[in-house]
Amino acid sequence: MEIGTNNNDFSDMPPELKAEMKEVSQSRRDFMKVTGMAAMGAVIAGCTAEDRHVKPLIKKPEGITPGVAYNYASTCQGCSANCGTLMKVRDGRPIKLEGNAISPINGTGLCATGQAQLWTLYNPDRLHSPTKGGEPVEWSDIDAAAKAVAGGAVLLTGTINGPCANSVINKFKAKGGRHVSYDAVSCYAIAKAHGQTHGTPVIPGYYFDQATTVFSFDADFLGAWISPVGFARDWATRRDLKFGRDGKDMSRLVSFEARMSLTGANADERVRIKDSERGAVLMDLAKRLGGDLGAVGKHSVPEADMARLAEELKQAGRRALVITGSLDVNEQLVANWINNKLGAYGTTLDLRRPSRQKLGDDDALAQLIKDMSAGSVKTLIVWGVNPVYDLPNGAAFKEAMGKVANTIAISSHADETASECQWIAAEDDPLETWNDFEPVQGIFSLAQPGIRRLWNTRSGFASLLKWIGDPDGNKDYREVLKAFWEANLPRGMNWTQAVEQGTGGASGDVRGDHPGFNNAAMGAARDAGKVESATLEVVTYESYNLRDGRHATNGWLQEMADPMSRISWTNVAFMSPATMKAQGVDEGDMVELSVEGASCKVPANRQPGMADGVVAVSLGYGRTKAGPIVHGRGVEEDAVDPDLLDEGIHAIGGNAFPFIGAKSVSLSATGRTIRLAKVSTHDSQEDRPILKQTSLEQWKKNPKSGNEHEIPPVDITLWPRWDYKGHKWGMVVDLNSCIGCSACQVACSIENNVPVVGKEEVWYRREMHWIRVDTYYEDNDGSKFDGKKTEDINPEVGFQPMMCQHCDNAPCETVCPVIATSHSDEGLNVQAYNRCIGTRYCANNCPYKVRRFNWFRYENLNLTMNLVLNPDIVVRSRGVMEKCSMCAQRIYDGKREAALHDTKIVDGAITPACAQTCPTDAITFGDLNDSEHKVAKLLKDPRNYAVLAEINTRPGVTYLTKVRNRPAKESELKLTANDHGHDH
Amino acid sequence: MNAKLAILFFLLTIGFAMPILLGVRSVPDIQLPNLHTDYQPEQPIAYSHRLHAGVLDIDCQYCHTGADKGRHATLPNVQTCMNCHATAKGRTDSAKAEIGKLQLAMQDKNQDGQPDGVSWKRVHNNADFVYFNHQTHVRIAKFIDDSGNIVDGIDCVQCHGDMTTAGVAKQQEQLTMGFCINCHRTQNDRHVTANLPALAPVNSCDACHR
Repeated sequence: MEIGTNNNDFSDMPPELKAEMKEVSQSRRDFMKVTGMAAMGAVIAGCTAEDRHVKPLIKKPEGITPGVAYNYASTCQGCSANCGTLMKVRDGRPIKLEGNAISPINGTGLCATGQAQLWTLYNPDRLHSPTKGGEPVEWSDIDAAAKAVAGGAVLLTGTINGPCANSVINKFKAKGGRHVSYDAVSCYAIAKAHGQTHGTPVIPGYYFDQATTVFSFDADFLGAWISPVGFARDWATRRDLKFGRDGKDMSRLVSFEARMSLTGANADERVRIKDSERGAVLMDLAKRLGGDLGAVGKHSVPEADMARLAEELKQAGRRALVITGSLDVNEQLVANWINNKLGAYGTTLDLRRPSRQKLGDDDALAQLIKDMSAGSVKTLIVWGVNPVYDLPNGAAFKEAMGKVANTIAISSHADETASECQWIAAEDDPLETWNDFEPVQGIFSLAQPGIRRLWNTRSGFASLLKWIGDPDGNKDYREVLKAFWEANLPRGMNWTQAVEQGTGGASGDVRGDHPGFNNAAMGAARDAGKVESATLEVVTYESYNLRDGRHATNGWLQEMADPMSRISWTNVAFMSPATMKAQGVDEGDMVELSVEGASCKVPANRQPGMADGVVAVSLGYGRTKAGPIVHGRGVEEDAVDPDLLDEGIHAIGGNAFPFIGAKSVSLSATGRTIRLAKVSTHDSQEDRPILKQTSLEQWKKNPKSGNEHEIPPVDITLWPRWDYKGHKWGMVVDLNSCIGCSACQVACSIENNVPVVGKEEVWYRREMHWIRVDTYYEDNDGSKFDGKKTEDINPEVGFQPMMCQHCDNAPCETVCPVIATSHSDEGLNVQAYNRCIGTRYCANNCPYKVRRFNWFRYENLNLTMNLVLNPDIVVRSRGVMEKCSMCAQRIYDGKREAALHDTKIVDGAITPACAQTCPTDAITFGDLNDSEHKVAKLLKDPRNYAVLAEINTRPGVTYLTKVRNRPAKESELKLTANDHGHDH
Repeated sequence: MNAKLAILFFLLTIGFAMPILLGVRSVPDIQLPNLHTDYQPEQPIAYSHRLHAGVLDIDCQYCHTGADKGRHATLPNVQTCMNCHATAKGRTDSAKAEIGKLQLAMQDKNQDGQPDGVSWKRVHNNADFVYFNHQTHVRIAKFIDDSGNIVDGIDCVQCHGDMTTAGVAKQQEQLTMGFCINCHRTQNDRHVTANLPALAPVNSCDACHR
């Protein structure tokens, strides 16, 4: 259903507005009466200002000024990557997270999930105190109960990689405890395979900055795989064509996958294979590289392509990197063999400095479930994981828990698992507590609190130490951590420095011999190609926002649209157009996917470029005990599956965890169709040069290639030509670096108090994001893209961040009747919210569709949630237009800082939130009037262009052509040929 | 229907005409905090600016320490008061009583077991949608007076009036947009003339509205 098809009776109207309309029409007379009375009342009472109070501190902490923000180094715990962060803390509360520039893991970048961790901290639905059977209890109660049973207990956790953290675990084990760890999205097969081939069961360090050719088999390293921010950053260094780079060492990415992943969308070549073919393709590649590992199974990749791709790998040699996210150890063995054959170990991947980001042991977990079922586990302590939800056999786990006499959870939420436990020890949020990490062997990272505990919670380590009767249990965990690190810090570094820097450790080249390859291990690999295929295969993957589901309560992440489909507030069953047709379902049709023993309901959605006969569902959705998402405005009611809501369960999307490892799936339509909250329903550029692109080959010949055709603007304007005497702020977005991860979008929302509006409102195209990432598909044969076409197509995908373009000839400024939007002396298009009367003329006249209107009061109605607001930015009220300000508050902070030190504003001194968090440095901000600023140089890059330049808006935001490392397409060659025709 | 309309019209007329009927004088009584000149609330401690800033000639920033560091000028912590008042306990009975309140503020415990402090009433309030930064004006800005002399920082008096003669703090200027922008414009012109463009005050909306 489209907007406008059925609106004669306001049935499309959001419930809030409908209720309001009703109220007004029913009692219009009362309304008028009240208005009149109010006006009188105001006069008679003679309003005076209400007294406002200021209460200064008794004693000012040294070096802290109220109203000034300070940064504290910490570590992100949003996923297993453990990126280094800086918490911006103002008046005792963290209001923004950013990457810690000195972190060897992620640098200044942080992903959308990392950015959004503040929501988790202030979420009012966190546990406020320890509970027993859902009722609040005292800490002394739970401690007494746990102490009695903690000896010999089983502790189930996620990856714990910190040295001090592990020392606590070891103390627990020394008291007869058993520790089992697992990762909801497992990489155990990689470690296991390396145990067999290299004798060291670890996940290697991957060096994408060293690789000239990357072959990825379902390893979504730009999306969510192991350490996506660091991987994306490293990978992008070899893709960068800015500042005179010649592109000779530009890497090539080939992605073999069934679904359409972020990695696939950014690949120079996508090879569509079903998961069941992956082993065979790997075996085939190995064979072509001279390996005799066994019979090669059948697969659908044409012979010519296989020969070419194998040759490409051979050419790259030790600069090649073959990765796979497969859960099958045999397939991992083949990948290891190929990497070893090419000599890549020691260059693009290294076992001497392995990743410690996923240390889970699936075998130990399987054994634990067996033991639990057999009744041999007396006490189970579940800490920080949610196995009832995120294990493929979660139901079996829940059943097995029934046979455990004592169950205790250490958790910040009463989630699916914790609510099944007898006791819950309410845990601090990661932003409230101390912790340490070793994400990569030799690289250490500390986490410190950015705020005093909001509720009656406790560090999980403190709980554990107390329960095993350790003397450290009576101390604050900070003291334990400090004592540990003071004894273990590198020479020349003290505790204060370590906390200040947050992260550090090994750097430079790894020394020592790389472990050798054990060919004898390859016997098992014989089975890699022998996976049975099914008519409809199911693919599960970690979602880009909710990850493994632990962020399901996060409004910012729920509203962040999936980069590929642009759908928010649910996961969907992705299928290729042909598969959709074959299954007889259409977009939005609720389908039930079933494997043996489990099923889930999700809406179907078309995804061009997927392998046929495959249905892909993302993990992390379908949480049944995640609680309400957003308080007030009924957002959660809009966002959940109505079937489940009838049963009182607030679940968004369907849980795909039971499908992990399943091959065959059956699909049946439920007969119900739901509305998908898509932020963009148009995939095609309609042959207009909005996202310009070219091939590396063409670009090397002509750096302006792909950008030749500019329709010259008709230079007529109502405005005087602006004369920027001082600064002229501007931004350049490198489309070649942008991977579409949407970190910028979430960072912007947090920095600028952009509200979460909920599914219903998104469906009305009323999302409030100041920056969005547009996804454009292009047919591989050069014809106009049509997402509904069922013919076999393998489209190319491009991402384009789109925010206010800060036009010199701004169409919005021309039409505002109250001059609420105007031009600043420094080239910004500024919006004075208090002046805006909400005519929406400006949004109507904006060709970039970047202005957002507050249809309702979107403020948080919950006081705790309000703590997240940035005090340097107004919270806009209903009826007001808003849009990107290029982070005016940061510009003024930068200017003030420069003036304070009597210096000019150097390049990089001011970075808007989007540019700051971008893992690949795709966004560059600066002063276009200062030739020393990078952005001024990029303005002269032959790849630079303005979107819709022909309408003479003269934007302050420009883009750089996307360059793909693949042979030129015929359509592109034709363009260039035409251009030369014009020139001569 | 007609009767209903008539009632409605009557009510509306009454509603909107009331201010006029009651006389123009009553209209300025509807005070926004930023326009509230002569606002001089009774403070929890009878503190005299005239005595401290005038007679004793204590610098404004001895107490308002944030003025050159950040957005807020800040009020002094009780400890700052005690720097002097640990020994200066007052000569008259009333002074002794007032100074004694400081001692109490450090002793009285609130529900968290923390000393309760002094809850002052805030005299100068900007509109909620205005961003004003004290540091920019006090420490960074240059003020160019009528005769072209360049002075470091804007004198507190420009906005707050002369506190050395004020006694209990009182709002003396209406903090309207006109009040701000008049100075911004004049100073901007003078900065351009004096060839100090980098420090010229900004006249664009985003200088204060974000």
